[in-house]
Amino acid sequence: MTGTTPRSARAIRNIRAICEENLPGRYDLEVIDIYQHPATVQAEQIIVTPTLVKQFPLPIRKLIGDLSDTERVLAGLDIVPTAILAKPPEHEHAALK
Amino acid sequence: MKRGTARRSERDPPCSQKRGGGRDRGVGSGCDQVYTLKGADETYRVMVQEMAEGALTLTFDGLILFSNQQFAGMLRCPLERVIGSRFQDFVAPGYADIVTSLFNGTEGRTAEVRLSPDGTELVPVYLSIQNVILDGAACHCLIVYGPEHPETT
Repeated sequence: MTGTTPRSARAIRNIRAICEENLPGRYDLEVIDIYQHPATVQAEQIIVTPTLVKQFPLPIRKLIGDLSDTERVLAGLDIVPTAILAKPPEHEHAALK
Repeated sequence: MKRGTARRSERDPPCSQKRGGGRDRGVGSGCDQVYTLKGADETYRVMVQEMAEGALTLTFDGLILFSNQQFAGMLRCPLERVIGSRFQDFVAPGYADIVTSLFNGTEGRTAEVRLSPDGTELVPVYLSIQNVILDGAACHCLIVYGPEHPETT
């Protein structure tokens, strides 16, 4: 994410809500402000912000935008929504940049 | 079927999202530069990033949307672990009610509390709060400074 932009703020709100609802206690979220940590841009090959990088479980996935479309985010993260969940997924690790 | 369509869409390159404007900034590849239009807010962004005090933007219930490095330094916690967390998670037990009163605006706009980044160490700080509307949502802007800084009124 980038500083205090509205879209970055929405992305943080949305991903926290999605994780709390669908992965309570089973996720590890890092939120990286690339204004303050610009080296992350190269390390993670970030093109635009906000970008959500799902690192674990593999494969790595990158989702761009404010993450307001919950269905697309869940699909991108390979998460079965809690409502129809039969078996807990592996521990997730994601970083918002 | 609908879920399958959504998954295919996520696997595609993010061109549609870029065209749709669902992003904030373009970022240079192969270097550590962030390319953006220079606006009037750049001065304030740099000031908030470089100021000696901790500066935060929080949702009304305490979710940290922005923090500068100075606040993370007070907590001795990586900045990426601070942003996206709840401010209350860093407040020492016994001071939660003070923070709640500060957020609710029932006890003025300043408070003295202790932070407990690792559950044991207590860091005494002063808080100064201002409520603002950002993107249509009510938020708190918080300045955090240690006792070595003179308290201002």
